[in-house]
Parts: sequence; structure tokens; C-alpha cells
Amino acid sequence: MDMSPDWRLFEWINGLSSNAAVDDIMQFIANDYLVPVMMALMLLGLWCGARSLAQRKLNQWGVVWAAVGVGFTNLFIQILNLLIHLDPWPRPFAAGHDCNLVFGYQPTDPSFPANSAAVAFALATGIFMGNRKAGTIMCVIALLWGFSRVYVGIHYPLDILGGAVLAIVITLIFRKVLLLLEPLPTLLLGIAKWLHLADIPERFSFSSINWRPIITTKWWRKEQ
Amino acid sequence: MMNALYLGEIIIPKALFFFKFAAVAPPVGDTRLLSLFFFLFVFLGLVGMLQIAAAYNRMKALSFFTSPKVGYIFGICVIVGSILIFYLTGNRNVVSPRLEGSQVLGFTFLGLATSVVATLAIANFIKRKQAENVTEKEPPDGMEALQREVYLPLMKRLWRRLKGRAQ
Repeated sequence: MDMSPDWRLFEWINGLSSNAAVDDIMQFIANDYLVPVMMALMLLGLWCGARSLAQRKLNQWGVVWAAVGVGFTNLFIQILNLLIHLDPWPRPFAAGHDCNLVFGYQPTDPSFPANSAAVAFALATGIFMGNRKAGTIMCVIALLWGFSRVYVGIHYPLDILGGAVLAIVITLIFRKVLLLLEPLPTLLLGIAKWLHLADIPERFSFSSINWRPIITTKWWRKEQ
Repeated sequence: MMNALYLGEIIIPKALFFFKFAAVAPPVGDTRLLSLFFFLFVFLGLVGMLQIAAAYNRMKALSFFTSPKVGYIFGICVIVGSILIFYLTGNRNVVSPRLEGSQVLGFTFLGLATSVVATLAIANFIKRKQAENVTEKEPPDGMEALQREVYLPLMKRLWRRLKGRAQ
């Protein structure tokens, strides 16, 4: 019998499922579509909905960092999944343990790291850097999503923790990658600002864009 | 007392029925139909959120209504409606039909682009009288301009500026 802390925690959370009404609510939260769409709504709300210009700019940077974080976290997880496929990390219901599967279907991709948790935490981390309150709310939603996916029996707690840590680290590190991608971010945000759909970057004109190749811009010197 | 009774006897059972239905409803249609419903879910949700943001921020160019209160109520109703439409038209916790992560991301971006364009177009149509008055005054940078004017005059001015530069 597996007595690892991860398994014991899984057994405890998954063992909570006995009340039909709570199971239905958890299944609704654990769904693949609800939380991503709600987070997309929050991102759009943050992009447009701050009365002060300074806060709106911070929110918009938060949304940009969240988008970059999600992009690179997903890329990293796809690569990791390819490697894990060589030695698959099975889902709880497929690992031969006793498990209450209260989810509608049995996912077939590797259990670790939880892609759902990674996406939610990448978004929450990006937003947290621009807006602490909204970032905390998104963290709570991400935690709830992660908890519900353990509750319905499709992830171990370690999968959620792994996805979350991976997303937080990648989002914090790859925020700097925006500098490497210049002038593309400035150009895209600049066009949005020009069309009155964004407030960042601070100053923008087409002539101010640095069109030189990335190699010669020596972006790392700007950091010093 | 009345509110507690209303909550206990009507709201909570109805909400529980919704979650039960979402959990046990049969799967309906194929991936194409699911894609359409998912797109509608995202599109309507984002239109609702834009209305709430526009009401909070008093953005003329995005708001369909002059009263912010109506904007909030409309936005919340549209978001709740989009959730109900998506989850009451079939079980979304099934292996088939199901959308992959990349499809979810793609439809979210599509929904985002179309909801912004549709909101600007509808708000402009509703406030078309204001849109006819194009002043020569320079608008502020970025989204600040959306608080002062509807979108078409802003674009007309931008177009004139571009034409002026080209000549």
C-alpha cells in the first residue's frame, strides 16, 4: 500500500466526496472550460477597468506578463509531457489505487504536472505583479480549481503543486524575455495604444521603435 | 425572514438543480457544435465584462447605456446567461465532444477580438448622433479617449491624420 504523503493527502481530499450536491459543484468547478473563461473575463476587466491611468497601466502590464507566462509555461509543459510519455506518470484512477472518480471522463495525458494548475497560476502570477488584489483573487481561484481536480480524482496534490511552482517560476523568469522579443511587443502594444485600445507603452511612435536586430541591441546592458 | 425563505426554498434548490443538470446531462452534438457554444460562451461573457468595465470606468465608446447601473446589471445578466447557455445545452464533462487546450485558447482569442469589435460597433451605432460630431480637437492618448468620445470619430480623426501624412 502506498503511504507517501502525496497519496495520503490525495486519499483525504478525494475521500471527502460523498455528498452528491457537493460532488456536482466540484465537478462543475473542475470542468476544463469554466475557470479559463472566468480568468479571461478577469483579464479583460483588468485591462479596461481601472479608474486611475497609473493603475490601468500596471494592470495592462500584468495582463501582458500573464500572457507571456502562460505561453512559455505551456511550451515547457508540452516538452515535459513528451519526455514523461517515455515513462508515463499515470492518473490516480489509472494507477491501481482505490479512487472515487467523480469526473465525467478519464483524461489520458500524463498526470504530472497539472496543466490546468500551471495555466491558472501563470495567469495569477502575471496579474499579481501588476495588481496585488486581483492577483490574490486569481490565486484563490487557481487553488480552488486545483483542489476540485484532486477532489474529483483526476490529479494528485503533487501534480497541482508541481504545475503551480513551474508556472510561478517560469512567469517570473520569462517576464524578462519581453526584452528579447523587442521590437515586437512595443510594436503590438503601440498599435493597440494608437487605436485607443491600450495605455501602454509609455511613449510610442513608429519612429521610436528600435528596428535593429535583437543580437545588436545588447538588451542585457539595459538591465545593468 | 422572507429573503431567507426565498433563498432556502427557491434559489438554492434551483442552483443545485443547475449543477446536477450540468453533471448528468447527456452529451449533445459534435466538436463543431461544442466549438460554436464555447465561442458564444466566451463572446457573450466578454461582452458582459466589457459592459461592466465600461460602466465602472465611464467609457462612452464601450458602453451601450448612459446609466452605469444599467450597464452593471446588463453585464452581470449577460455573463450569467452565457454560463447557463453553455452548461445547459449538454454535458461539458465528457470525453467526446471535447476541446483541446489549444482550441480553448484559440476560441478565447477569437472571442476576445470579436467581442471588442462588436462592442465598439454596437456602442457606436447606439450613440450614432454623437458620432456625427467630429471635432478637430486632439483626443488624449490611449484608452483615456474612450471616456470622452465614441469610437468612430476617433478613427475618422486617425484616418485624416494618416491621409495628411501621406500627402
